[in-house]
Amino acid sequence: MSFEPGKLLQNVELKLKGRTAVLGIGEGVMVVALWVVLKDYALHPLFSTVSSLSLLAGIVGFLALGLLGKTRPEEVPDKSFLHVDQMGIYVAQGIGSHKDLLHLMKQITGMKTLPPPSHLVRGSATNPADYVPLNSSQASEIVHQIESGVAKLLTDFVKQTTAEGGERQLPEGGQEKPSEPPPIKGKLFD
Amino acid sequence: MSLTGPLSRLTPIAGLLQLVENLVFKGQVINLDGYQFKNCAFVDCTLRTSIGNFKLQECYFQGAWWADFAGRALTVTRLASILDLEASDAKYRAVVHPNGGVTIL
Repeated sequence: MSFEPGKLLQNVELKLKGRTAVLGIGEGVMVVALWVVLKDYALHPLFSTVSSLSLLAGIVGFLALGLLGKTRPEEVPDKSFLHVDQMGIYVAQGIGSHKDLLHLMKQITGMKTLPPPSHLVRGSATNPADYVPLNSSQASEIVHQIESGVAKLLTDFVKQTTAEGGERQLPEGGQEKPSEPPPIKGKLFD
Repeated sequence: MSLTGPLSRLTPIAGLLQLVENLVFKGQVINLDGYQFKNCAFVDCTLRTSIGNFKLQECYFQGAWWADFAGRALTVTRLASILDLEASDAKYRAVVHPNGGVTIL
């Protein structure tokens, strides 16, 4: 039987559940070792200097590895989404970031980013005389406002839904109606 | 905010719509789903829906506009085409077999 450091490290990682734990323990060991070699600096200054420099490099290296290292496949949480149509519930799991959450919610509602508008309507949309042309930056600003409104709408909905621990009963009489979203009106440049 | 941890349950969100008011879209493809358009005009636009999750209030269609259906909306449109097959575009038409059978896939 041969000793393979790679397999040992992998085994330790599995038992400690993740690279972060191993890095954390490694950092701790090196800090203690640094303290030990510096404690008796007067007895062996050269050894202490070389050792402490090596340990400092190790501490910084481990830290950089932990912070800058790429996420490995086993460290990415499994994302799943389940829709039970008859019961009208959605079950989302493993959504770790706000961006992912908004992406998921946009998928559920079918929302896609709107193209830039060409005009504002000041009056009735049936009357072209009431159209006020927009330049490209104004149009982009309106699209940005709409996107912000969508993000707020979806975020508020999830906050509202998960506020009670993700378990909420529907009111009698069927589906509940979400609170009215803030309107995106063509009134930016009044 | 995160949904990580215990399972998070979300109630149906068919009525979750972003209101968009007083705008004109010209020569664009507009994905209607998720929005409630009020007093908007669509000039030479293609209006697209996949799940029918949208509302239009006092909107105005002008020029060469077109409706594009996909997903569930396409299935419903094909069913509706049976009411007037001749008036329906081939893409949105149910298949009616010589023996009178109807196929909607």
